[in-house]
Amino acid sequence: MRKAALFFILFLCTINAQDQGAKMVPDLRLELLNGKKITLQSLLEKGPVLIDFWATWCEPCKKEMVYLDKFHRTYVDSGFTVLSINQDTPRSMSKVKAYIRSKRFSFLVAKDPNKQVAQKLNVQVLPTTFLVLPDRKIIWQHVGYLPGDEKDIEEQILKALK
Amino acid sequence: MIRRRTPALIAILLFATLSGQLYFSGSSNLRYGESKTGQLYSESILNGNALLGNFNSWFQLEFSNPPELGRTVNGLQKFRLEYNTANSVFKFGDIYEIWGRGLVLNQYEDQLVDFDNSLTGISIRNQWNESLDWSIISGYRERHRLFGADANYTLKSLSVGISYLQSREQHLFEKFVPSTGYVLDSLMVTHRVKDLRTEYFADWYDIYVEYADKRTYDFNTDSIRSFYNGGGQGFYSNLNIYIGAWALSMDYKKYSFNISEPDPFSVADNYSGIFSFQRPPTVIREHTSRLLNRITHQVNFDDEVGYQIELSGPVLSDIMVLANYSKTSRNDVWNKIEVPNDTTNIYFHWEWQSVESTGLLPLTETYSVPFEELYLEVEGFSFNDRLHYRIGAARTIEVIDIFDHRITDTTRNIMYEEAGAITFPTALDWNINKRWNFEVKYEYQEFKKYKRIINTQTGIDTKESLFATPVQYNAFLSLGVSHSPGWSCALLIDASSRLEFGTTPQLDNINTLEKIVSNFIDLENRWIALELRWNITNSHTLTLTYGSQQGGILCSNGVCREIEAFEDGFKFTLTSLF
Repeated sequence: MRKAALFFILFLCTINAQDQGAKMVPDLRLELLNGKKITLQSLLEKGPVLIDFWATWCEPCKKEMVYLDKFHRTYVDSGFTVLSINQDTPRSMSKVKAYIRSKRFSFLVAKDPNKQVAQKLNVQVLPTTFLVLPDRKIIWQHVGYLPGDEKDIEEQILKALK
Repeated sequence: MIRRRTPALIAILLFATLSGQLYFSGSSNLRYGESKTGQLYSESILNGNALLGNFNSWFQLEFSNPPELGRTVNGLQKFRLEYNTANSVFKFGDIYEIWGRGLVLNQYEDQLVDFDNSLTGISIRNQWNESLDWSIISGYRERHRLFGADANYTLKSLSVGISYLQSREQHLFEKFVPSTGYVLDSLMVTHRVKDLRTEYFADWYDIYVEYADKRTYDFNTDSIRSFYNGGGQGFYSNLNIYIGAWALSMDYKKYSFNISEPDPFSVADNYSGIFSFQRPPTVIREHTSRLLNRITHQVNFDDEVGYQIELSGPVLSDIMVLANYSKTSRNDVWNKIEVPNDTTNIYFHWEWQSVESTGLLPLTETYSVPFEELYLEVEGFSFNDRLHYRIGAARTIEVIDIFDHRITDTTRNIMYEEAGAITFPTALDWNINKRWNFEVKYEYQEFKKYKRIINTQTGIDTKESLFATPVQYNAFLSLGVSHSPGWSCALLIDASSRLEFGTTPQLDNINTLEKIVSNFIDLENRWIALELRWNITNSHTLTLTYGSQQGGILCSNGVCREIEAFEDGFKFTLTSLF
């Protein structure tokens, strides 16, 4: 019990010692649906990146992705990128590319079948969204999706592009 | 192990925090539930990541007493330290890796069904050059000591991979000793899996093929019991064809790691099949419908052949259609044959024998334990994208168990359990204005489950329902309203006309919501709950549920668990990301 208390104190102290802007993303190594390998850093060199964790079985994720695609198309010329990281396991992985193609989504889709990338960003529920600046700092994060949340997402993208 | 890890973790965190170079992030999930039937759980899970230069550490703390599923844990549950260079990643601690599509290695954690097949040890991954990458793992989990290596070579759009995984297992089994009865014994077993795979990407199609071969060796020759040292193979392939916005996806599997007779009890001590680190694709559709998930086929990764075909695409700019057909069966056709006694040569007992192999494609005949599902879906937007709808229909047929199948020249004696269902899942979303949204989900199912007995000798041909009526009618209704970004509220009504014989009937206690709803609808077996979700901030969500929830089988990633019903109680969940 003492050990548990010690952990919690240490944990809370560490969190309180930093502000939200100081949260950093490690340089993620990712494999895209077409087999190409990229790093997050290579995308950040162009501008801010919105990272979205989703899966084909997640209905709110699919609703949100319609808007994310719009944002990607609208702001890609300003250096903005949407990077969606798929959480489907091998049992449904084969459907991911078909889904993306049939929806004509233009953003980047990476694979994370055993949730190792999600674990690095402490993702617990889907969808979870992070907006990352070129210096790898997270300026905004959002858990879940309710219709209407896309207004806030766009506001944050515009702030990041300023 | 936890005791040894704890001081190390504290030291690392303290050092890094004091040095001021540490970037820390984490998440927590606090869950509490209590029902009138005595169900109680209290779970707190904390995930943390610390980033310090090229080092990255991840840990998970759990405090549960008791958890909703699984065993009570208090303290450090998981820990991993990573060191990253330009071309390499070194990991030490709890390792999760996936090679190919999981025929050889697929490690993950799924708290929904309390599944975890991680490894405590080391992992090294290296990108040798633009084309070649390799990795090795070594470590242990429970009674397994693992070592494995994997390499991938990529040339433009073609990639080829090769893997080898070995585990020395101290296999436990029960042996019968005449004086004391059944006692626990163990023997050393070695599992070896070799895997070869290839993938090719083109503009209008992509193809994936994987083959795995597993061998099991028993080195303990002094064991009282003699075990079969067996082996088998697994094959999986996937072909996707894209024509414009249309996609045709085809999956095929032939898993014959351990072909066995239909009697499920006969494989209890057989270790030559798939082991817990292998999790191949299921090759059946993964549903989001609550009622369809309850009747999900439980995949037999040791012995199953099957395919899945899915066609999806737009018919108009706003309407998407999807058609999915999947079919599986066991690899062999089984028949019970009279076997003579060795000494007397008199016909003595019946034994399962494989009389025919199904070949490359699954069969429909009862004695191959078939499963078949057709799913159709239409989805789209209307009224300037303010209305989103999804209408589905599924037809499912499955032989669950074969108890007897004896066919001679003159008689047929067959006994099996079969289930069939027709399900209609629908969902409707109406965006009232920029922030308000109204959602209705309605699912309806007609479900039959019966025992079929045919005996031509006695003239019996019966179809005995496992419910009190021939058909069980199931329905699920969810009425929800949400206001972005603040909150959402949903009323969940789950009802069933008749419960299966042998299952626990719903208890007499009726919750307040059920009392209110019973004024409008008369439902015999119903579980009604109200769920409130409050997004305190962008990163903190509180969910409160009051009412009852139906139990049953819950499947995820081919792993199934029996979930108890939750009768008249509260559930509280606080999820935070920081």
